[in-house]
Amino acid sequence: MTELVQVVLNGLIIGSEYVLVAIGFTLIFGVMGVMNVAQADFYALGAFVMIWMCVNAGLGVVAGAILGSLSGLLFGVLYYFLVLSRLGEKDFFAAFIGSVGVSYFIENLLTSIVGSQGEAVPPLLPSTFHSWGGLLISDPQILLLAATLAISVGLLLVLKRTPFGRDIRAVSESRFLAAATGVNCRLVIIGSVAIASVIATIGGVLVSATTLTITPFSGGDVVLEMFVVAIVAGMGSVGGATIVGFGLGVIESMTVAYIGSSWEEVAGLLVLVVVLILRPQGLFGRQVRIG
Amino acid sequence: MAPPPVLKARDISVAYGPIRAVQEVSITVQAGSTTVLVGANGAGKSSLLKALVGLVRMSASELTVGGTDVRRLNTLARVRDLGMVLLPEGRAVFTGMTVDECLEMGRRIGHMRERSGKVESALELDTVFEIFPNLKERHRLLGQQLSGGEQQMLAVARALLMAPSILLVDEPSVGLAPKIVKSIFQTLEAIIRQYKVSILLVEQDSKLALDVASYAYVLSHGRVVVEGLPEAVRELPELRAAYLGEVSAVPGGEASTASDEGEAVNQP
Repeated sequence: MTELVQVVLNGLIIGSEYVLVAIGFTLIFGVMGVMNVAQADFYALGAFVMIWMCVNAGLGVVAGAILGSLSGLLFGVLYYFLVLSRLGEKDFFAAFIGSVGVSYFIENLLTSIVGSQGEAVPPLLPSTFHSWGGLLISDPQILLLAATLAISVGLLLVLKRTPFGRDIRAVSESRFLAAATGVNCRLVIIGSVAIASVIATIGGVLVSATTLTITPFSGGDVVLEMFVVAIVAGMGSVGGATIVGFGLGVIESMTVAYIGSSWEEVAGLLVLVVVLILRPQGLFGRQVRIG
Repeated sequence: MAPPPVLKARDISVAYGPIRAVQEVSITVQAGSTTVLVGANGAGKSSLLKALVGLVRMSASELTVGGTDVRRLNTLARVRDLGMVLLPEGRAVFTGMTVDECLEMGRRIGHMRERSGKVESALELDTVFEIFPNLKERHRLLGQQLSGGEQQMLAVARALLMAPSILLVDEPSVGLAPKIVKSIFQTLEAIIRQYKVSILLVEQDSKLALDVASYAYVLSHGRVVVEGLPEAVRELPELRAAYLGEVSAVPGGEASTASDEGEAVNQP
């Protein structure tokens, strides 16, 4: 029994990573209709900014972590003005390919700076494991899990309860109607991209605090999971992405524990295929909006 | 002297690539009046309204609202600062929002316009609930849970809360049962009388539209073919022709020919 709970707990920790990249991805899709592949690379960028702040700029670990987390705001706004605003409004494929290009650009830029091996991440918290009734969990993992829950619940509350969140939902449903109703659509989109990017960089900082290593391709490695989570949840559904992200982590963890680690990625894709056959709009998606 | 018109548009043209949806249309909406634009499907009516609020690209030699040139303003400024409120075609509500949230979207703009002194006072929710008691009963329901008629009422209510200086109404009758359409038009008429809102109404059902109109334009193939008081327009052969597509057979239907570089037509 304890073993099963431990496997589920490990799954939730793995899933946190998926949740943190997928909710931003799905949020951007909601307001812009753009499949933003580069979302996952912002995640790696966040961790590298933290490293540079600590190692090269000589800041403390906490200050570095905060700056790394917040760097997404800058990246998001830059990304919007340089790429998304030019491509996203024109057509789906242009923006999609554009984001793939940005993804390659970030990965190769990082490789040329730090090499393909990646770097060690200064520990944010000591990674000694506590044993809670036989369950093993470390402080960075607790932080990651708690922050992921707080961020996704927080984002849902913003969407449901605040005027800005209402505007985001309005633009997601119909940009035309939102504009006619006096919503500042551009501001809503820039805000959403910034929120999505900052969630990704926070994710990079917190996940790398548990793994203590990051490579230029750490982002690219979760692109597949990001797609699976967002699509299975239903594109645009933040709550759904949270549940499915954690769920996918648990499924992968169980696959590794009970079937074999070589099946880990197969499990996720199998879930994707089965769900899409049964519910093409995703588990939590509405049957509207395809691009 | 008559007060200046709320909206004055000259030579509005809209093209989607090679397709010329609206060609040099000139219209004027007097303050407190209900101006209607009737015409068959595809005559360019919706495109014209979208162009007026800046949601599609257009060209115009003049476009003023309350005397302000709006051609260089974006949609946001046209809506918030000048009170050009578009009520789009077909149950234009946010289906995933509650009635309350949807109304709040409108009221926020109304309050903004009130605070910035653009209007003396915006309507409050209570007043709107008096006009639409159905919405009060259902204020917690989602837009998608309402009937078609209720959705249209919700859209009208939201638009009113935005304190419009001119309400641009696009085909309120589309997709609704005749009985409901009638009640929507009655509500519109009551609102026009009570709140003196200036309305530009675009409608395919010319009979309904001309009943509430104080001035009417007939649009065919992107051009105004005739205009005048509703009683007069009702009897004109151009009206029937605009729906039957026989415009070129009508004497005086100068806009009907396919001349591409025509001068502005139909100066009032």
